[in-house]
Amino acid sequence: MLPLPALRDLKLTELTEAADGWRKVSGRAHAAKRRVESEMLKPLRETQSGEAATAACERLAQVQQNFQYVYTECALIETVLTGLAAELESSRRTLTHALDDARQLGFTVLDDGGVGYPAAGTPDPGGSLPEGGVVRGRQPRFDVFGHKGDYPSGDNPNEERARALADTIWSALNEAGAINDQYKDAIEKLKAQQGLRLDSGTWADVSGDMAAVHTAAEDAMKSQIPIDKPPAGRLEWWNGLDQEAKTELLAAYPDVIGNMDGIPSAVRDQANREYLPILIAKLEAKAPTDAKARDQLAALREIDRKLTSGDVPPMFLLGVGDQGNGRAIVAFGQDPDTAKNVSTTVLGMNTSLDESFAKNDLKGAFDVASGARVLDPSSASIVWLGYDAPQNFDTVQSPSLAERAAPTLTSFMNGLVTTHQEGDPHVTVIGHSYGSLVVGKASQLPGHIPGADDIILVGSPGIGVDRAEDLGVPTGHVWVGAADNDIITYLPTKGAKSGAEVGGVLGLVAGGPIGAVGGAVAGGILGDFVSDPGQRKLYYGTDPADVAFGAIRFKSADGTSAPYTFGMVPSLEAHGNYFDPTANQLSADNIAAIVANQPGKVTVETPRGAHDLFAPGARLAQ
Amino acid sequence: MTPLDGANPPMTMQQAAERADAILDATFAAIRPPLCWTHRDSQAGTSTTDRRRAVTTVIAEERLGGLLCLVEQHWTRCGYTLLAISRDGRAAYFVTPDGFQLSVVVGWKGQPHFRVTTPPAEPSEVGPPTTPPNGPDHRHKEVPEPDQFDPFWSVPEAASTGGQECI
Repeated sequence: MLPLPALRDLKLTELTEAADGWRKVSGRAHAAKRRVESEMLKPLRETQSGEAATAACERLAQVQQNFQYVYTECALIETVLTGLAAELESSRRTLTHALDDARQLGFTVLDDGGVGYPAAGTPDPGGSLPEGGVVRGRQPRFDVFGHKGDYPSGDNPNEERARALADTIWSALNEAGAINDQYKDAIEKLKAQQGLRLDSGTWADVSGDMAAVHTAAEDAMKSQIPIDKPPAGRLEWWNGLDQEAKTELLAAYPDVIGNMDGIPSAVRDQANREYLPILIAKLEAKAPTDAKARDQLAALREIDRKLTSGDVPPMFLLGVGDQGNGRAIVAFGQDPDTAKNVSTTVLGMNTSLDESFAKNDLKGAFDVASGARVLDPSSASIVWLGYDAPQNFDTVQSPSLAERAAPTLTSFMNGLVTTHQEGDPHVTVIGHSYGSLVVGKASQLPGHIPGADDIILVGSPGIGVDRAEDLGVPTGHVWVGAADNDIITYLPTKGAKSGAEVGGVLGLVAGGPIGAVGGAVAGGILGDFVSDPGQRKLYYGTDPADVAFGAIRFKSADGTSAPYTFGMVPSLEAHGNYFDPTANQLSADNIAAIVANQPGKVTVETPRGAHDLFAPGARLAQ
Repeated sequence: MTPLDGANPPMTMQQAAERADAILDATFAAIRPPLCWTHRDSQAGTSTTDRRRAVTTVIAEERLGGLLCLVEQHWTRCGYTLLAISRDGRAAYFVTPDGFQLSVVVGWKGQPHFRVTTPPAEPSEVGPPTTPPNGPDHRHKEVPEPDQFDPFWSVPEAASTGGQECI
């Protein structure tokens, strides 16, 4: 409970003016940070070398970090004060109305919230009116101890009105008290010590501060940021904000803005770059006891290194987070909002936010961007880790993770199209391995995949859709890459083979050595794919590389095969190389050509089952 | 992975890269009048690497077919096998008997890009190519635009003599 005089005499303008002040400080720190970078650090790095220059750069980087800290913390203070003022205002309004009513009725309101009412009603035989009294909110109507004054006489009509007012006042004070408590912790946390020196611990504190502020001001945030609107509504909202409001939101909610579909890519990138040190510090604090935090930390450090390395093509961080198996959406090439060609790749089993993702999977997107930009510089390539991919063969055998991921993917794609400045980029969606099932599931949602012009399926175990024409892109725009020795593209049909065999194959994907293809598994696969060329069913439906599926199959290196008792069988080596211009130049160049909207540059392969000579069974029998 | 079959001592990635450079040197030597070109950054893998060159001479659209034809003639004469050719005839892939993959792809603004990818070799440090580029060095640029004028390659009609047309 807040004391009545405190709420009554509260000057909300003091809070909002203070919030304004912090917002201005935050904005100036932000501008200062940018100036240190662009006017001091960058020219220094570019023009000077040697010990003195290195030392100066280090000091300037520290200054820049200090400004970043001031910027973020001030924005958090601003957020918390604004939220507090907004929520207290509603309680205060209720109280003011009650006080006005009391005054009009001739009641008195005591500082403890009690409402005094005068004598009124029908005089008794002695000629005196039913006497007045004092009531307090939420007091028992029938006091078991029978104190006089708490007992309703029923004779004085003022009494009921006074009780109603007292209840209202009590609720307002109680609510204000709860709001006060809710914000108190957040504000306490935001205190910094004199002479603070920034280190990784400070950033961990910022992460804690941010979490506290977000929890305290959740309701205020929801009324401020339209997270429940579709991407178009969010973009309209964002574009309608003034620069000051944008800066403030970026500082206070970088994680929300950075991951919000419908926010321009450059803004998401800026938000996520600002959020990254905070998230890294949060994970650093958890890492000693948490293996997943360690993995994610390694990934984020590598991403951070890449972001600042200045490599070409440039990089955009369109999303990052530690929920589930971790989230990261990274673009290479031109800004996806201005590029003529944009591709989004969904990866499959075993993908999570770890060092392998930050090194190998990001390199895949980098390679696609580099390849496409040889053909058309106005191209961007995105790798989308926006879902929890299966991490073992129990989950990879179920389409449920793909079904859950599908609407998240379509929302992201919707955002991309919404924020694109020309409005109609050439969009390619690429699904690798289990990621192709996510793409398949997304293509079956109402409206298909927003903006998609071309769909590429590589290393696919089936996509849950049996015909290319059902994917929602025009004929001739569904492409498939299937290396002849990619074992995943021969996964046995569900039910046709025992779970142990499927599990065996998938288990290998989970990290088993290539040479360890068990005889039984290999035999099962071999038996399966030589049996029925022309209509091969894989684990998740028709093989997209089969002629019956109706996609255009592009050329890919065969990849290596593994020795087997009676010859050679497909292996895993070929499964992971589709994007790699060194290991599988044909596939990488073909993907680049499709992404760059130059289908003429594609080298075409005969689909499986179209010709006996090209049927995999025939090849293997050699 | 076995680097190479046969009794030859295994090749290191550096040696493979040098052989790739030699293949590209010979390819450019076969093109007359000579083209300006620059190295592009290569990306070494764990056992394979590649060498890339981008032509910086402006090539007139009408000259492209002839240029690709010269390249094809040279590579075929060397005993390399055609692996694939794109639907528009502007990208071709060859392979050498010892497993080096060659490609020529016509990119943005009609710029030919050459690349040789090595077969798997013994892991080793891979140094930069030693052949000087013919023309400005744009090694660390992303995609150097063709900006060198040539009286033969850059004009649709054969304005000067010495040009070789492929029949």
